[in-house]
Amino acid sequence: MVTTDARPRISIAVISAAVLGYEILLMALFSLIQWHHFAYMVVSVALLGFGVSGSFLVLTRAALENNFRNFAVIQACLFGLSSLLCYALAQRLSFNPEELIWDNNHWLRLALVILLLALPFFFAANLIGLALIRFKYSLARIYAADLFGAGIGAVGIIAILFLVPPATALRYISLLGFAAAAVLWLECRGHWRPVIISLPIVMFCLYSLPGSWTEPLISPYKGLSQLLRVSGTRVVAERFSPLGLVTVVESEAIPLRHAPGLSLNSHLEPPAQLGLFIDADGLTAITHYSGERADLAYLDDLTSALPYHLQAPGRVLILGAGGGAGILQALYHDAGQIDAVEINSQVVDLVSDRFGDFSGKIFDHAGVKLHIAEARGFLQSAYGRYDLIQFPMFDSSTTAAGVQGLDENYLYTVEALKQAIKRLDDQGYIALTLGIKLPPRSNLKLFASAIAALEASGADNIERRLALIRGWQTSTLLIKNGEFSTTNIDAIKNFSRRRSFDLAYYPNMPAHEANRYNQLEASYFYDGTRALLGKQRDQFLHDYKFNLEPATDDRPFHSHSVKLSSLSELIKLRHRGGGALLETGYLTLVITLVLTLLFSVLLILLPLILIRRDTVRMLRRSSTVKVLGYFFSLGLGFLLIEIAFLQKFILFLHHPIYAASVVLGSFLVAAGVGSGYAQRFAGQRRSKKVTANAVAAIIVLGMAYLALLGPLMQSAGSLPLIIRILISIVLIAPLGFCMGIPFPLGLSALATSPPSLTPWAWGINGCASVISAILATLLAIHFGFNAVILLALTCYFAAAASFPELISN
Amino acid sequence: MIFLAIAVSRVESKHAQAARQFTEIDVNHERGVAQWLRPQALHRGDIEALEHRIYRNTITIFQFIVKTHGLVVYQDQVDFTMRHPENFNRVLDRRLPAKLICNDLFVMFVYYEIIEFLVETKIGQVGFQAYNPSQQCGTGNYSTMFGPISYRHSGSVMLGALLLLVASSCEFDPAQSSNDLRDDREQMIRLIEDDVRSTSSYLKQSSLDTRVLDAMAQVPRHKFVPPQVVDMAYQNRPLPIGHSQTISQPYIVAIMTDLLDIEPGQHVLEIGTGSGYQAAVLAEIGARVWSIEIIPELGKEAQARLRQLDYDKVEVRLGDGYYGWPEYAAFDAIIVTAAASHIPPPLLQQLKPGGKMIIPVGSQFSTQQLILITRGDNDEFITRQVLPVRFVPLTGEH
Repeated sequence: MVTTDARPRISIAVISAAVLGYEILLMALFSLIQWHHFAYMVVSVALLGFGVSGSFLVLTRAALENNFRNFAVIQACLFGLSSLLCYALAQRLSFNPEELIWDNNHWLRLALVILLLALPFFFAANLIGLALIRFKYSLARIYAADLFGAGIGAVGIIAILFLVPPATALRYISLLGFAAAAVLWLECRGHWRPVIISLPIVMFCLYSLPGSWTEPLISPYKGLSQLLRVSGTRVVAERFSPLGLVTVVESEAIPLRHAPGLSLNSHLEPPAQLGLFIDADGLTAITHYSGERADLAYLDDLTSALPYHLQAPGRVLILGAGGGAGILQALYHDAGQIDAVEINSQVVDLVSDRFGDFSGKIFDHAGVKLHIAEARGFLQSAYGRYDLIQFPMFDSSTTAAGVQGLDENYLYTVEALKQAIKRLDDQGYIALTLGIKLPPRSNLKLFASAIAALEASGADNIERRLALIRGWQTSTLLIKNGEFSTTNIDAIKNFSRRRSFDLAYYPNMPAHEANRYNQLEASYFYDGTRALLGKQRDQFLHDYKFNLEPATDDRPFHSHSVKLSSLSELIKLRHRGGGALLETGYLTLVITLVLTLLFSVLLILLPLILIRRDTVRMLRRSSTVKVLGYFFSLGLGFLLIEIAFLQKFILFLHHPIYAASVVLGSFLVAAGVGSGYAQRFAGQRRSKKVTANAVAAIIVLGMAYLALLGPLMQSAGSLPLIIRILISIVLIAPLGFCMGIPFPLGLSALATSPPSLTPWAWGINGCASVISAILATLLAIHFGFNAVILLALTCYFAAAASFPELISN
Repeated sequence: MIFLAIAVSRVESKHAQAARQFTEIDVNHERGVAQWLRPQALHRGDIEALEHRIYRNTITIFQFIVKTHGLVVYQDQVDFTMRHPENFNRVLDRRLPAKLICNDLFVMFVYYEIIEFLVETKIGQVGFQAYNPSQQCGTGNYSTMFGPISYRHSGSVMLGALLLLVASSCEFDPAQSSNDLRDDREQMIRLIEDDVRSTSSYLKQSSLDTRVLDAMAQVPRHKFVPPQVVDMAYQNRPLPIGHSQTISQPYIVAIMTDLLDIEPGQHVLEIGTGSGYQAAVLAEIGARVWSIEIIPELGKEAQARLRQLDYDKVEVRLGDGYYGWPEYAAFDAIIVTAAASHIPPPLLQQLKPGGKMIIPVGSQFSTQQLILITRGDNDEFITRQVLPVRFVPLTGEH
């Protein structure tokens, strides 16, 4: 018989660490198998397993509570088992996001994928939920262990992904599930002998599972899979980190010849190349360079070569060096000094070392200086000034329809461009090359962002500082720190004419020069740029079918262009050639939110109906509503704040991985500490007041951060990373601490209530968390992350107002 | 099933001798029935005679199915089933009871016919294998959906099936079935016409060349898709064809073909054969087509398919399409359906003055835009970027 003082705190922490690690790992794996935002969406919804667990525990609590140890151990084991098996099955369902618009069967497959992935979360939630019910008098401590473990899991999985590939990490997670079961068994006074016998067996089984079970089955429609179909191609190198899988492909029989945007007038063939993929997509190339300048001549026939024809740049900054095409282009044009920035050190290693002889060790070339850094952070911290800043080629046209629409990108925002303008020497240029999207969307959106950045920089005569050319495949936008001279304009016209590129905009450009070589039905680019620079800009932005509002740090969705008002028209056109216009990611997000809401309502109402007979009738109606309002608001608020601040701190820490570790880790650990602190008030009358105080602190801190974080980060942005990490922790910890208090205190208030309400509250909280994860992205797209924080604070306020009264039998 | 068992014992001895003569198996997927036969000792005439025999009796089998289940079976479906017996059920209604048994019966029926043929023609030393190359079966065994079954049993079972067929007496009109399938194609054409009308402002025309639509009404698209999606063959949508590739949406195929403005007898180069459907449509218009496929498996399948369907005007080559096909240049039109990071300069040079090149841009399942390049008389290239969708006015009312 388990005694009440045998609280399973370590095992709860272990299973929580495993669950959060599993969540992050699934996103990494499904980003590789499919595309990032589908991974995000699928995993978010799978967390509904927590909501289902609430309903399950409402029904089974009575039977399970007295048999906690056995049930909990089984759940932990089931988590360990299902975390591996369900993933292996889910990735074999050959679900293809792009077929969602064509084939209803794929919706079914999507649902099956989600159901399978929800199972491990369901089992883990059962364990944690039952522990909260079983040990109701110390549930704050249990919850603290849960949060603390989750924080460790968030940091731990990222550390593990630096060491082992995700398929191996998955086995570790599975093992962690079984380890949690073993610890739980011992914590609950179980005999050590079964543990000693079974753990090695489990470890052996996990070790000897065939590799094919966990190896990611990459979608056949991703770039890497497509290229590997060509005979003579083979993977010659692979590296993994939390930044993704880097793959290098050699093509022996048929050369790669990667030169997007090459002029139709060009007769040049690129030299030998190796294909470079990140997460099996987004092909770039490592180009063979023997020091022979003539081999690189093809790089002069791309739209991105335009700035080199306006002046001989002394100092060039290449953002996103990747395989090195930008550096080679600068070398071809005799740039004096080249600073190259690349975030992924593994890419650098491959280009410099593993394929150093092939690439000509371009990062070590005289005049080239490599910086392993995030581009935005480099722009903020760099001291030098440049004659030319080349942004990385952003090719949104070659990937699957709309899959990038929901990806945050802080390099194409107004603030980023403003920072880049500051780094320009007098008369220097920023060059931004993008894949063409038709009807014009991201290309014009970037133009609008450039105008806003120039306005924010206090530049005058903005219309004289911009130029835009386009081929059939790419466009290049130039922003000049100064006005384009007549000589500049002549150079632009000559460059474009010789390569049959179209002029879309330059100062005082006559209409008849537009739309000559790559003819559209109308001069959309010319008309669009004129309208964006004209007095009718707001009207134009309002009337245009797509969203061309400049991307900002608050709404960093450069590739998102669907307007809600156009959505129904786009859906109707999906089978008539309009599929590519419909950002399937966005549509899926909207549909997912609706479905999640429906499921959540069902999951929340179902237990209420089932327990009606024996317990709910004992409650006043208003109490039930309060319980619902309290736990739903908390579930929404917690994740909304977490997600929004994660985005805010990406800009401060200049690295998505560091930001994820620091923010998630700090929030969860601090909340765990807060929850532990709350234990002393659990079940007491003053718990309502403590909660109110905590919520007040959350609102004050939240509002203060909203106002001060921007300037603070701006001024501290160039400090060393370790200092910035410490500042982040110091800023997050008090907020996290306060956020850890309301949930356990609310749950404690129900401890003496009709017992079914605790699991019900647990389920409500789980459902709300899932909704908030999806809602956060959708809100951020339309209203920005600041709005997400405001909504989160409102949720906390609503929670404080609906704190459940202490109820007793 | 009892009388089938009796039939087994009765025919067993009859075929024992033929069975002993079977040697090791091999597979030939080139065409029709030959896919089960290794024609070591068979002449082409023999194979054709065998095919004819099986074909005739297949119709009888379908007759039986139609009679007992009140279903409609198309002539084209009979053709399809001949090539893919494992999908016998797919061409029948899904409500068909015990369909797995029917499926197996059909496969075995084919083997029975082969054995009968061999016995009658006294041809020895002929090896054969079941339709599934991944299943290994030894001498004298057939691999079916339920695993290896003795040839003797299968033949016997099929004899029983034939007895049942003899008992059936319903009328079956192959022409009627063929018409039904043609109806599907015509329905598809009507859908395309509707879509084109609605995209007229971008395409700068309100209807497509009737020759294009006529051609598409002739090409049996269901023969260009794999069995698992054959029931969607005439839907106006792209379909996966294996090897990470798709067959384009008919609507896009129609627009691309129309934009090329092909005249009969003109020379067309295609980079990216895929299933071969686009090439078949061009050939149906009367063009002479040279097509290059970079994925070997896909190219071989398309090659065999086009040959089987008698598209003699299409020549398929496996390999790199970057340098085009200089031996037959210059071309009146070039279609580049394989994804390319840029337009290969040698291809542009193989375009005749006044010739047109078309390139669909986008992903496998969503064409974003069509690039139409025209080579002017003075070697200047003019590109038209055509949206395959009606989305005007761009700044109009939402």
